[in-house]
Amino acid sequence: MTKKVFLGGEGRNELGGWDGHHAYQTSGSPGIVEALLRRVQPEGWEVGGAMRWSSIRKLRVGAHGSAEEQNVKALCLHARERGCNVVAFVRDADENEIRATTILYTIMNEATADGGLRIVGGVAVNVIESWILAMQGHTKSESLGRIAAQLKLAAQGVPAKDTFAMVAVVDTVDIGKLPPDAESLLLWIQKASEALTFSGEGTKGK
Amino acid sequence: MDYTAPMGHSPIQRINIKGYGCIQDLDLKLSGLHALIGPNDSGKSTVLRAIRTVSQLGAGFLDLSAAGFDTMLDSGSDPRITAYFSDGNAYEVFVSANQLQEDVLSSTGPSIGARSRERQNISSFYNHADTASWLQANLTIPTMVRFDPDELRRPSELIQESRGISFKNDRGYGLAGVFDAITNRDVEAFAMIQSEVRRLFPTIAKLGLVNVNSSTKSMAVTLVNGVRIEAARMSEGLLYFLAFTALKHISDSRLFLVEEPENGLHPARIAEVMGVLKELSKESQIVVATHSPLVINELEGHQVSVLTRDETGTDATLLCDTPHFEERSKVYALGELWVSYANGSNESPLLNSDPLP
Repeated sequence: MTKKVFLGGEGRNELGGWDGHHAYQTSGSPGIVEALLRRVQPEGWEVGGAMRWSSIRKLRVGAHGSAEEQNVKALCLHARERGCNVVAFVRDADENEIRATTILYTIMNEATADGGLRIVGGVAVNVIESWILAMQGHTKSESLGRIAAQLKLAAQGVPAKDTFAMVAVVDTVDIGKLPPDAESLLLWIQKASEALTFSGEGTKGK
Repeated sequence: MDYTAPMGHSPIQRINIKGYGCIQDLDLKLSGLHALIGPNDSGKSTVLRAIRTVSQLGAGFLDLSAAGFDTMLDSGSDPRITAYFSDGNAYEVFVSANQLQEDVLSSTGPSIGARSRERQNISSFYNHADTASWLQANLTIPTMVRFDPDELRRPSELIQESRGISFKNDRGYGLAGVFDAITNRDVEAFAMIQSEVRRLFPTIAKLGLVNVNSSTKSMAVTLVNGVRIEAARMSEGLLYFLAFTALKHISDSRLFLVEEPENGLHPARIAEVMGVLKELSKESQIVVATHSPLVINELEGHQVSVLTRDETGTDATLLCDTPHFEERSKVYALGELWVSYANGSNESPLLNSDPLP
């Protein structure tokens, strides 16, 4: 059975053609999340929908602390409503430990609440450009902040907002030969591998 | 949150509206504090007017000139409004042969009191005493508000001691008179309002009134630095807050119909105003029409009805009866849920099982 994967991310770099309003979403130009999943498991799944963080309504006055939790929970909710088996997302850690911890705990809670929905997610330490650097073979990529990672990547010929160039790196990476200190990326890939090879029944209630 | 009836008034638990304004046939459940949401032109304000009309007619049952009489006669084709109450009885008004017909229906169906009413002729109900008693116990003169800062700022005449406290129009003209009456009749209540205003507006030290002439006053506040600000220069947020706070003191009205309580308020103040309305709903019924998810965030699923209208008519669905409500409400606050699944023109993902596009 072909699995359906629901994608989440900040914008075009993560989601590619799946970014934006559904009327403008296209399947022909993958973002980093979809491209990386293809490297992990080329076949047997398709994109069932996508949502960027900013599309998830957060309208509670003074309740910013719950935004990260709500992002993950909403992504899982919309994935279930679309009959998806897998949620895949990445969020920049941006040196924010509370964000990283909140996302981790929310993933655990969601996975416990619905064992049928596999969640491939977590934070990129510190930004998704760090992952691209690691895929290019650079060590210590997780020690770089946002600006440093973007500058270093630009120096490698990959501008910060150039989704096409970043996906080109993903398309050629050997995920078996990543630097061992790229821990957040390696963990994400491990989760992706488990989720895309999982032969469960799918999401509950659907 | 079930509504318990205050003295002399029970809530309308359900209303059926036929042929009134843009509404062909609508059945709507109501709670003690209830919000109507939906796209523009879905009929929210018409529902408020229908509730006002049936309440005016029922509560003003002996008053030949009761407001609502002409509204009902002129409101559409064969209009009929039926309001159901907690004892199972219903008060129904409809137009037949250019006459207003009124009927009190028992929970088992048969009429327990009915009469025809013309513009210049008011007759008794058959079984008049029982019917009149039931109407008095259940229906109340409604107060409809859609506050307008310019009206709230206007100096107003004082309310005579022998008269009930009320605004002079539904846009809030008469606020100064209302506060003057509160000050004179219930000093403690005025002190509590002032205390709450100080808490929410920390730059304000004192709430007061200034004489415009011998019979007219205007609202004013004194800031903590001693500067006095008169109504003409008071903030809209403060004026709205004062107006909503004053509702509790409106005499003889235990049904408030509120258009867009969010207007002019800072998002953080909306919760405060909803807090005022929640408090008021302990002794009154309140129905609001709103476009604000922040208003809806303050309510529960059974307190919100989604109105939609198409060529087949108007429908109302309680938010708690929408598909996947339990799961969705674990993720989203109610206002977020509403605007996540409805975009103002297509309510389908909210009302049907369609996934979000």
